[in-house]
Amino acid sequence: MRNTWVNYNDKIKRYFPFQKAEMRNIIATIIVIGFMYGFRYPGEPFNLIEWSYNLIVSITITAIVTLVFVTGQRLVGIYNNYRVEYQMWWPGLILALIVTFISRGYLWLPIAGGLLIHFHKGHRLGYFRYGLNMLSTGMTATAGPLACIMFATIIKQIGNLVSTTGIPIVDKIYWFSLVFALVNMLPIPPLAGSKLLFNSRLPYVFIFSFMLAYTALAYFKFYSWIIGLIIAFILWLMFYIKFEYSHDKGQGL
Amino acid sequence: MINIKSINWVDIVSIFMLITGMILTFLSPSMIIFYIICLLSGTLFGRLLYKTKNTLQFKYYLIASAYLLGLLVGNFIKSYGLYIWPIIIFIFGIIISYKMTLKQ
Repeated sequence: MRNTWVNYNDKIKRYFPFQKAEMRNIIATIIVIGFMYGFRYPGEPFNLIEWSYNLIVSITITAIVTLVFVTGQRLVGIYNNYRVEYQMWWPGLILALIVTFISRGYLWLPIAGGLLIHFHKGHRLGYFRYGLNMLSTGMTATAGPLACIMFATIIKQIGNLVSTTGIPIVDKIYWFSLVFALVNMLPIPPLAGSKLLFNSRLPYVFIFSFMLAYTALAYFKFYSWIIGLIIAFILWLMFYIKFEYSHDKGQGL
Repeated sequence: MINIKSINWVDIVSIFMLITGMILTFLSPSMIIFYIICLLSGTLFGRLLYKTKNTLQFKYYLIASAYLLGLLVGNFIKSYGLYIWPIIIFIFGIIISYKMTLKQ
């Protein structure tokens, strides 16, 4: 009964809605990241109206991608019978703002923030590991960046179906989603990547390698998940042999 | 000869922050952005001071002062204007951030 669709649907209805403070934090994050993304004026000479339009577009793109990120984490959290609470990391956002200012908008770090995971005592009754499971906690956090990658792929495919030459706004959303996912997979607490790395190293290496490989391939206009997964598997294997396996024999790390 | 073990971490962090303050001032493209950086840095230190309010805080004051000194040295070299403004804006940032964190 516990993993049926009806049960999952009911849990989504009950636990998915955002709290007031959470909503406020998400909106603040969206505005700050959107400002960083749209800070650099693309043309010369400076035109305030065009810059404002560019800023609004940037904030809209940020809002879409941030909501995809948070939704991914929430849905996987609910599936694992956890309640995920979004937490803004505003010291990180201020540092990112400083970096944006001194680089004149060329460098922007879309730092989404952290998450707090509570577990539902009643819903997790009967689970093999009743409390906060390390791997599922990490996977819940990683669901955000993975959701961004999936969203980016879907939006790119739709864009390719509509126009063969590419739509600028679709490309913008695509690249923003990829960078957003990559930055949030960095192992800096409290970002999502740190939750997975500190809980389970090997899945982190595989997922991060996949994201990196997919983004690098996309840079060369080669959009393939399969090649990305193969590269990720090779990197994962190299990491396993070089560090984990030799560590078990007392040679590595 | 300097005994490395005798150097306190506060000294090292203070020197690092002094250099960081100077570099940030050199990299800031205009005076307004320099003042914005002062305000944002102040908010970071305000939060730090709030988080460490139940401990001995002198070391954090020292680090904040070193950072502010770095900003002022950068201000002197780049001749952005009166020295009092970065100090006022930095302290304003600290107060705002401290009060906001207190409210939460």
